[in-house]
Amino acid sequence: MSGVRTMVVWCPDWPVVAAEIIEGVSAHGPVAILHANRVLACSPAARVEGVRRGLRRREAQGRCPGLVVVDHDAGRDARAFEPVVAAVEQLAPGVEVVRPGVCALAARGPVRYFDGEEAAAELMVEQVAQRCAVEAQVGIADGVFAGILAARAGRLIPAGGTAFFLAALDVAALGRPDLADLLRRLGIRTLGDFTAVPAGDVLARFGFDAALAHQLAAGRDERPLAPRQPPPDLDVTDEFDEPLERVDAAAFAARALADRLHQRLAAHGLACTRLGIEARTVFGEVLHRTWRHDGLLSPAGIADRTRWQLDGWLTAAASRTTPTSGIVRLRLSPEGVVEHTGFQLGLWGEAGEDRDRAHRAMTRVQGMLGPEAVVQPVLGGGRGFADRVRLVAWGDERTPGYPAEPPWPGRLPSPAPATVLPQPVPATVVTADGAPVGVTGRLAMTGIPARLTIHTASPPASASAPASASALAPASAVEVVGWAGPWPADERWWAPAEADRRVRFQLLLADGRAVLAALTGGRWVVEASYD
Amino acid sequence: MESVGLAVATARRLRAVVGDTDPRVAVGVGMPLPAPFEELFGRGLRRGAVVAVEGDAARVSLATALMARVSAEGGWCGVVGVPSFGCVAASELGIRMDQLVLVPEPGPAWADVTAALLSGLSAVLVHPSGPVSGRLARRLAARARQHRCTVLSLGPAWEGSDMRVAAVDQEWFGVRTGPGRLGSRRVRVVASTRPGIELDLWLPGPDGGIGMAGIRRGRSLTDNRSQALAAIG
Repeated sequence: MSGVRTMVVWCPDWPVVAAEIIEGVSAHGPVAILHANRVLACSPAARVEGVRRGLRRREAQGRCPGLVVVDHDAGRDARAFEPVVAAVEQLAPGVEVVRPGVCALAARGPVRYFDGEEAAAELMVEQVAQRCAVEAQVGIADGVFAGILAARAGRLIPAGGTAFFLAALDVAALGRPDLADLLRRLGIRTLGDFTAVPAGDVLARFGFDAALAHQLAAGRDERPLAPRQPPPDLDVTDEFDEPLERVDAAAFAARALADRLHQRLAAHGLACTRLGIEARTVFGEVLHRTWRHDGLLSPAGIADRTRWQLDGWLTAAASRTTPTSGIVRLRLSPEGVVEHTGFQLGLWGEAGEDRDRAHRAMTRVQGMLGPEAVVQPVLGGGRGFADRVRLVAWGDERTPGYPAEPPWPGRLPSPAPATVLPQPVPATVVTADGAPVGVTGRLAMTGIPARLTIHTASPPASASAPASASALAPASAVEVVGWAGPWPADERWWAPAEADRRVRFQLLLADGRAVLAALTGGRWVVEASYD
Repeated sequence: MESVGLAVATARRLRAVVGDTDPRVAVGVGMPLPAPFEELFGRGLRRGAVVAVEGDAARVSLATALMARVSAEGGWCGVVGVPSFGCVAASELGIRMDQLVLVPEPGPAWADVTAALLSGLSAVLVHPSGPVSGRLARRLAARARQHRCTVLSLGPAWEGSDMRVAAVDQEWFGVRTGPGRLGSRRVRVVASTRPGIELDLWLPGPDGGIGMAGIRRGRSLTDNRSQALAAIG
C-alpha cells in the first residue's frame, strides 16, 4: 500500500534565505551557513565557486575568497519560515512543517479545488513568491519522503509512479549518510537496488532504522501527516476615528482593550506574561514597547500598563519637537503566553492570597507614582555595597546587576552597613597633628587617622533624603578611635569612562558609630554608615 | 447556669472584638519577632501596631531586625522613604529580598503610599518626611490596625504611636587600629512598654545573626539611662 498523495513545498537553501530575511545578508552573493565549523548550506553563487555541504570553514573560504559566513541558528530558520507556512495555509489547511524550509500537506484538497495537480502546484509557488518573496519548488508524490524528493526535482509524480521514480535515485537520497556509504560499498547504488534486497534481510543485517529506510525507498511511506494547529490570533486592535491626544481618553480606551484581550485569553485558557503595546499615530509613526511581568497579568494589570505606556508616549510627544500627533490605532499583543492555571497557592494556602494582596498594593502605588517608583532589590556580585544591589521596578524580571558567581577580591566583609548613601558624602580624614591621611601605591596609610569631618549636604538637600542626612549628622570633626582596612578596588580600568579606583576603610568613631569611608582620586568620601 | 455560660461566651466574643481593634490588648496572634525581643516586648507586639523606632545609634538596623522574622515567615515587607536602605545588610539580618519592596522617593505622597502598602503587606518601615500628628497619624494607625500591618516609623515624632523603641547605646567589636574589621555589635535597647528593662542585643552577633547579649531589670540604672528612658516616655 502506498502513502497518501502529498504535496511538498520546498524552499531551496533555506538557511541562506532565512539569513537574508532576518539578518539582511544578500543571498545573491556567495554565502555559507556554518554549523560546528562545517558548511551546512550555501547560496548558488557559492556553489558555483565550489563550496559544498560539509566543507570546513577554511576550505570553503579557500575555494571562494569572498564568501560571507553566517553562523547557523535553528531559531532563525524556523522564525523566517513562519510567514511561508502562513502563506501556504491560506490556500490549503492542514500544513505540516517537516523542517524549516520544507512543509507538506495533503494534496487531495487543493488538487481538486484548483482543478489539477499542475494548477495547484503553480498556484502554490506563485502564492509563496508573492506573499513572502521566497522562491519555492513544489512536488507531489505518494508519501512525505517521496514528496520531498519530488519537490527537490520539481516534479509531479503521477499516482502509482512513486516507486518507479524512487528506484532511479541514488541511495544518498535516504538522508542517512552512514547507511548510504555502507550500501555503496556493498554495490547498492540506487534505491531500486536497495528495495530489491528482501526486507527481512535488511532488518536483520542493518537494524530498524535501515528497515524503515527500506520501506521509504519502496515508496511505502505510511506515516500520516500531522498538520499543525495554526496559533490562535490573540491580538486585539482598536481604531479611533478621533485621534487620542489626552491621557484620560487613552486610559479609557486602554481599559476597554485590556478587558477584550483578557477575555480572549481566558477563552483559550491562557494568560500572558509579556505584553506588547503598539500604537500608530496620525502620521503613521508606530510605537512599540514590551512590558514584562513575572506573574500573570490581570485585566487591571494590562489596563494599567497600557495606560502608563500611553501616558509616556503622549507626554513625550508633547515635549518633543518633531511633529507628532494623536494615536489612531492601538494594538495589544500578548507576546509571552502560558497556560493559565491560576495563582499557585502556598504550602499553607495563604501565600497565594498574601501575594495577591501585596501585588494589588504595589500596583496601586505604581499607579500613583509611576512604574519605576516601586522597586525590588536583587542581590548580586560586586565590591561596594551599592554595586551589589540592583533595584528593578516591581513586576520586571529580577536579574542581578553583576553575577554573584566569580570571586570579588577586595569585596567588603560582613556585616554590611544598614545605611548606604545613594550619593557618597565628601569628608576629610586627618591625623592627630592635622595632616591629611593618604594611601601610598603599596596601600600603606601615610598616617594614623585621628579625626573625621563629614561635610554634610546643605539643609534643602537633606529634606529629600531625610534618613541619610540624619544618619550622618556631625558638622564638626569626630575622633576616630579605630579603623580597619584597606580594601582596594580597581574596577573597570579597561573602560576609561567607567573606571573607578578606590580604597575603602571602616572607621570607628568616638561616639560609637562606624562608617565606611573611601579614598578615591585623593579625596575622602563616606559611602555608608553602619547604622 | 445557662445564663452564666452565655455570659462567658459573650465575654469571650467581646474580648476577641476588642483584641481585634486595640493593639495594646495582645490577644491572639501577635507579630512574630526574633527571639531576643520577647523579653522586651512582654505580652508581644500586636500585628497592626505603630512602633516608633528612635535613638541615634543603630536605628535602621533595629527597625530591620524587628521585621526579620515576619519576612522569614513569608510576610511581605515594605520600606518607604529610605533611599539609603542597605539591602545587603537587611538580607544579612534575615529579610527575604524576593518579598521586599522599596519606594525610595515617595516625595510628598509618602502618606498615601504608606496607606496603600498597609493594605497589602505585613510590615512597613517608613521614614515620614515630617512630623506625623493629628488626623494623619490616626488615619494611618487605623488603617494599619484594620489590615494588621505593623508600621515601623524611623521619624522622630509619631503622635499616638503604640510603642516606642530606642537603641540607646552601641559598641562595636573586632576593630582596632589597622588589622581587624568590624565584627559584631552590642546594642542596648529600651522600650516604652517595659520601663526598667534594658536589653543588650547582638546586632549582628559573632555568628552574623541577631542574638541576646544580656538583660538588665529593675531600677539599677545610671542617670543618663533613666534620662534616656524619660526622654522616650
